[in-house]
Amino acid sequence: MRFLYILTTIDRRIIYALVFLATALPFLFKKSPDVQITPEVERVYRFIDRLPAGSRIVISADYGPSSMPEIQPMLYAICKHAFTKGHKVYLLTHWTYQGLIAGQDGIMSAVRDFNREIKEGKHPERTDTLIEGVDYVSWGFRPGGMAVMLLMNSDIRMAFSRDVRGILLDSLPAMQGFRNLRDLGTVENPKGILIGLEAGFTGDVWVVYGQAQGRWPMALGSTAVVTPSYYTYLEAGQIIGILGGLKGAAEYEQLAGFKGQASIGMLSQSIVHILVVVLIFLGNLGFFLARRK
Amino acid sequence: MNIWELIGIWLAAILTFAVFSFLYRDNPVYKWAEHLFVGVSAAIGVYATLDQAVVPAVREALAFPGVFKLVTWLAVVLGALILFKLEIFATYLPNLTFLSRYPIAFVTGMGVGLTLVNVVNGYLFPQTQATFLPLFNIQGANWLTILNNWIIVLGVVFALMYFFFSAQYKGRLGMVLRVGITFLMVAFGAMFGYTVMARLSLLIGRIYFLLHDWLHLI
Amino acid sequence: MFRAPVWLVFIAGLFMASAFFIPVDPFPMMQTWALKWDVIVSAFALVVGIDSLVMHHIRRVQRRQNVLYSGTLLVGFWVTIAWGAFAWWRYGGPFATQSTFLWLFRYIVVPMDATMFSLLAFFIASAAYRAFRARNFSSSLLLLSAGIVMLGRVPFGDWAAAPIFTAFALLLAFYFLRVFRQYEGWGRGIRLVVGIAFLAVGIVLLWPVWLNGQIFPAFRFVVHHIQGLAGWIMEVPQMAARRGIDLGISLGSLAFALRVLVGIERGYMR
Repeated sequence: MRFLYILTTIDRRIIYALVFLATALPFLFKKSPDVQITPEVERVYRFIDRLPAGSRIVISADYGPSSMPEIQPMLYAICKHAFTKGHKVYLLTHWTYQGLIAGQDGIMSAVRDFNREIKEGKHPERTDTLIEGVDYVSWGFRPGGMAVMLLMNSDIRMAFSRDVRGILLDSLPAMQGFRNLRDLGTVENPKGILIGLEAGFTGDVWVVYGQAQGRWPMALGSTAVVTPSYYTYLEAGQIIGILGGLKGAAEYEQLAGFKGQASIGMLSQSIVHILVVVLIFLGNLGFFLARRK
Repeated sequence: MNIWELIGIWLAAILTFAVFSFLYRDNPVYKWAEHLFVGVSAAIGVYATLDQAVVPAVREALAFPGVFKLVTWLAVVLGALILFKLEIFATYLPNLTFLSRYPIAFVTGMGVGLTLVNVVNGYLFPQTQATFLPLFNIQGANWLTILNNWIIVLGVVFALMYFFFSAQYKGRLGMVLRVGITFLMVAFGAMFGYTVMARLSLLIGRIYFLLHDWLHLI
Repeated sequence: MFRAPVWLVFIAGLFMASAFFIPVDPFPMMQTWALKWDVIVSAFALVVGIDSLVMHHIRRVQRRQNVLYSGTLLVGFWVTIAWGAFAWWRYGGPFATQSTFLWLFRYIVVPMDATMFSLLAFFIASAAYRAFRARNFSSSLLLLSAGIVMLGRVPFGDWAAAPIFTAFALLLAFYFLRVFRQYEGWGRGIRLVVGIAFLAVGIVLLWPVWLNGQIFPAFRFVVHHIQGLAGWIMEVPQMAARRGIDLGISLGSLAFALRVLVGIERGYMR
């Protein structure tokens, strides 16, 4: 009984140390376990996979440094997948400079790695490397949230007349024939998709103000904190899928055929989840053993 | 890797441990790191606002020909009125602070107008429509689908009733409210589970940085 | 004093709301330009936000609350301002890809912002250990739902779920069978039944019966289905409750928007 009592009154600093060890030690095993693919992630992957080559993948990077561990791997995996299928990627953000830099870093690391793979001959269907303005465009940041989304439903150039480098959008080959977000088609007849990578309320704003007006295909990738609220949109058919948290990123990586940063972190995620549930059990153990009524 | 990147990674690692030291107890190292962070991020915020918001806005205004240029310049003037709210103007020109109410009123009015239409069109209608699910085995649907439909319809109705009726838990209404609470507890449990997942993922990200980028152990 | 701005709110709001219903020129074009105005004015609103943040800290420094910390803040602030000005002059913009200014963001802001948020991981684990108790039916349901989702959404979580749920079932059986005698009537009967039910669940999960060539069949059943159960919880009951909550919130925001439109709510102007 005394041992049980000790187990139920562990000092918080020991708990912090346990959490740290449970997160750090699994990394040293260098194992990336296979994750079970959920239907909501698979739908997004299959949708992008089945799009005709040259389709448009618009990515809204609405997150900051505090969400990067979860969302950056999603951005990287989606960009790699899109480039492999020959799609064009367009980046924008509603999350000020943090989203802009995070989004640019993600897309540039995917571009660098893909260009290296082209040189190594892993993509025989491509001979030339990815070029900004032709294969991908970064539109940048605009304040206004819902106003920007509504503007983009009628004319993208009203919200972004130039890309992030200051070059007129009309002069970019990737922007030819891309007037507004309705050019992404519909779910039945898709020509592209908009993927919102969200850390806060902008996901809801995208669905309610953007997708509801334009009816174009949309998916959401989000931190696990806001993921539960997006299941209502999924069930109503307003979005086609959700990538939720680090697990969602790991699932997408697995479907795309590589083990990236998210997959590497999944062993730690498992071990520390088990630790937290065991800690909750120990807390309740003490509670019920001591409770007389 | 060049020398600046190496210095940067070491600085990042030192600052990471400075913040982690807060777990033991609040200490001067943590406070020093926190103040440095606030100073640097506030200054970056100033540049971000100027370079990413104000300069493009004014440049967009210049981009349009003819009467549209005048229209967008008027927007810039309206926007600039809000600058009367800045501390420096409030101290030296307090009589003109009222001008800052106009751009705020404009943005608020726009937001309100957009909300009124789009919340109904983008949320209420689709979500209510999606709740009208078949509750009886009309076309030979799977029993699990029918059960799920019942749970969804009852869950939405009871959870909504819980928030609308602040009544005592007595009688039939009390039973309805109790069922509503049950659904809400399941939802909150799932939300807690996902919140734990999110926070732990952030820690995984930091430890990955320390082990991979700093110590090159993995 | 407030009259003109309140009228501006009313006119702007009414125009934006009605423009959706009038697809006749020039309304769509006017709506587009009004949205453009919104984007431009919002840009300036961000300046005020940053200003209040910066002035708050400068005022704290002027009050000389602590020289070392205040000094660090000011030094960090002005060095960044100077570096940004240099980057603007040299590279055409502080956030240009070749600019060195981003070094400050990547190696000071990102690590610190991310680490401060990651502290929450420790706090949430410690808080779950100390405060997450199955005190009554509602909190037990919360705990069960959280446990299933936490274990069902990670690899190897399914293997850990079965023994943890067995232990919990046996713990609750122990508790109910110990206290049922302190109650009378229905209370006693219910607690006895619940205690026996939990005991039965615990025993079934541990029963090493050889069924269909497998040992511990109930244990394996839990392991096999926990991920599916977690998915079901997210897609059905959680989604339903969330939709109920969000419908309530959206109705509330509509009511608030109407109040702002007609001028009853004026808090935004202070």
